[in-house]
Amino acid sequence: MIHIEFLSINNFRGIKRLDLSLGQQSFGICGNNGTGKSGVVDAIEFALTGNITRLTGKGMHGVSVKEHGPHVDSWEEPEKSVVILKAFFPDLKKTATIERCMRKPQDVKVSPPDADVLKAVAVLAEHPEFALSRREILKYVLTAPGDRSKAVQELLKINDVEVLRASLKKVVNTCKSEMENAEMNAESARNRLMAALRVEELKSDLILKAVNQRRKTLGLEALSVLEKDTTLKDGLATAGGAAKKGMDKKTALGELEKLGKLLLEDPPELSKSISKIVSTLVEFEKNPILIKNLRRQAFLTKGLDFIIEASCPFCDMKWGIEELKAHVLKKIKEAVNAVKAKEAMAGDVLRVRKVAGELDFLLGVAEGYGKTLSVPDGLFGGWRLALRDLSAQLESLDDVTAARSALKKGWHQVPDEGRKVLTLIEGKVKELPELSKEEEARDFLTVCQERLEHYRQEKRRHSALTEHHSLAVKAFAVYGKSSESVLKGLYQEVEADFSRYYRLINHEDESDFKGLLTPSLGSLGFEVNFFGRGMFPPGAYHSEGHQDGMGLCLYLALMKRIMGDQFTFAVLDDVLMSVDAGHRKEVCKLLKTEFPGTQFVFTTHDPVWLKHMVTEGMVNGKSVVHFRNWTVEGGPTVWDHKDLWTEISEDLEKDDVPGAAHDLRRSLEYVFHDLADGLRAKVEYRSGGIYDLGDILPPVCLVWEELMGKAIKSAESWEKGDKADALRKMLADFKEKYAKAQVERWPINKAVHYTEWANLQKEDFQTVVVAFHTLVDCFRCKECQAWVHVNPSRGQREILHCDCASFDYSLKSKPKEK
Amino acid sequence: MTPPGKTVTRVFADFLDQLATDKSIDPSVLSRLRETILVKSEIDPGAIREALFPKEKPS
Repeated sequence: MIHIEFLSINNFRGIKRLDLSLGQQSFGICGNNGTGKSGVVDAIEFALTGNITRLTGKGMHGVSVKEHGPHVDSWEEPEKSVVILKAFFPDLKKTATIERCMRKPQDVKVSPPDADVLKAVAVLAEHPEFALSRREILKYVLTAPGDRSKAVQELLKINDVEVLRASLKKVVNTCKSEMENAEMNAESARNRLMAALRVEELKSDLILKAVNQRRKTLGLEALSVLEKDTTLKDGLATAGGAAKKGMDKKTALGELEKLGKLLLEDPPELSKSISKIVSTLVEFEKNPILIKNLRRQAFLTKGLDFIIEASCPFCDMKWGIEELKAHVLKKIKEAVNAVKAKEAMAGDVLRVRKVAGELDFLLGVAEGYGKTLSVPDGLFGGWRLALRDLSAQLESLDDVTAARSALKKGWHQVPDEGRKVLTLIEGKVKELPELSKEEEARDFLTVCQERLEHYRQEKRRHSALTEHHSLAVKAFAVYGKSSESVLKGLYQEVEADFSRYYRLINHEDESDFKGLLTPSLGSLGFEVNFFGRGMFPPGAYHSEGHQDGMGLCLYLALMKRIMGDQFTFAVLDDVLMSVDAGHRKEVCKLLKTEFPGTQFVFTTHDPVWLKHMVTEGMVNGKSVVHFRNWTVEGGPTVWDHKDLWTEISEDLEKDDVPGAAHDLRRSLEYVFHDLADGLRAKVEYRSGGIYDLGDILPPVCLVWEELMGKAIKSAESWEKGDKADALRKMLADFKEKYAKAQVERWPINKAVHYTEWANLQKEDFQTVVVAFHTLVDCFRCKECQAWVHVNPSRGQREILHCDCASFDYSLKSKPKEK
Repeated sequence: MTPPGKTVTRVFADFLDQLATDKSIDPSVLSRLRETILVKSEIDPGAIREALFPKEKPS
């Protein structure tokens, strides 16, 4: 990844022209709302990815990067909207300039066009997650498990895991439906064959008995065995012609009789099934949202296949492919209750559809006989169509009212006209001349052979589709297990890091904190321990500030998982807004110690937070920019980069002694509050919790002397003379500086009136500034610039050190030998 | 940097390896699935179905 050296923004969003030198260091951007902070974040994202997430997210229809990315005064001249970024690639040890223009956001100009750098820039474009806002980070914490799963999977670039799962599931569903239809067809073919054979069961011995009886009549050799390729009419052609008119009178009469029975009697269990379906359909009618969701689910499920471009396949509205898929999947999930109700009556629906199919089939057979016997055809057309419609409606539930009404009024009963036609056909069949035994046997074998072939074909198809279903189910189950196992391992790593980071921030009161990520197919549960009282959703009991902290920790844990050692850059856009002052120090410590190689760009509207970052050594005094205000014509107005001491010097140059004194006192109060905490100074308790400089500076200096004394004794006891000498020198230097600061302390006393400052000459006050500047520097590590502090924070003091361990002195002396 | 999709590839490869332990599955099916998912990176329902049941005609 990268470290940003320099950023130049031109005619971009709310910024007319802005140059920032980040110097590969962590960088703080401060300013009130609407002063242009987010414009800088957008510019970095645009330069690296060609996109601005803020303009392409949910609810941003009608807004686009190309049209609304340029400054409002340049919206017709996108070629003027340019972001240039000079970056160092640590792993490549190369520097390059990355430039993007709003005219062609996807075209990136990299100079020099080094192949490795170009490759790295392409990878970066795939990682827009380096810049996340507080709102975006919180979505990992405060969201439904399904949405969290998608958000985290997107971040981890593992959303294809879910895509394949959904594909396999869809194949299973399709195979199941095909298998069931094939089963219905095979059963129909079986019934038709049994009718032709005039047997009650489809057993080899019964079939052979029926067939051989006719073969004997025709003088054909008896079949001894029935195999998969046995021909029932084997030898018939040479024995004398084909069946007359393709029908067998007895078979026809048998089938018409079966049709008549089906029309007069309700097949077993059918009434129960119909009642169950009707009562479910009534529920659907009472609760139209169920059926609406169900219809939508069917439509949306089908629609998913058509999302192949970055636009809606229905209305052409621009969408990101993954974003639209996620949106559709969310809508599909809303139909869960309706789907459950539909699934509960699936068996009954199948039963009714089978009977409807059989009825349709027998009517078709009867119609065929009618046609052969010159009965006007097409008379059952409307009836059969209604049966097929009903079957389709029961499957799709497109028209619940019509389906329920048809079921209730006796849907399978014969219409008046139909009964007349059936009687007519039956009469015509009966009128057929009685055939000779040979003719009858020939017709029997011909029809049975036709139906046997059809049955074999349908059975093979059913068998093949059953195997398909079985394989699809197997693949889906194996995928579920293997993906869950890999994801579980991945989430366990994330979970462990997340919990550790959070404990680092909240070690004082939540040292036993633990988070739990529970992946399951399509969702990711997230619970956290609340003060040992149990595991709860993060939003249940923890405060907003703690939730902010969780969001950051989860984000960092996820980034560590994705990037590993190359997590070298991140933008935290107002991410720590709700973290209170007590935890900011710990957040800085977390970022510095766990991610020492990462360049963070922070934005905040809180100048105190920015100062925290500076004093904690998170950013140095020169790596900050403070936006004072913003105008549409000029963009953000920037305070000059300066640290406290430069600021005070400038106040003095302008003869603003009261301003300098005010800045100095406020800053010293803040610094000594922090030092008192870090060095465990004994400060007199005040119930109001307000401590001014006079309350905390002396105890801090006193404890510093004590600690230095202890460190000297320790070094001597361990016979580390060099260390002891260095410490003695530091202590003497400190005492001198403290004495000087004592003398110069009065001008920054809170009680001193402004008029007295006004009388103070800047040269006089300069002495005060120098005195305190040199005193404050005594408590700082010369290497990492962080404050020196004591460890542990409770109990016996053991060590006096800084974050980078350059300043590192034991406070424990060698035990004396007895 | 972990390349995008490394975890995904691991999940897919693991799935195919696990599936291969089932000796009742025709090796040609596994080979087609591997080609479709890992080589061609096709994971839509149509591609998966074609890999599982290549000889079937569209209904």
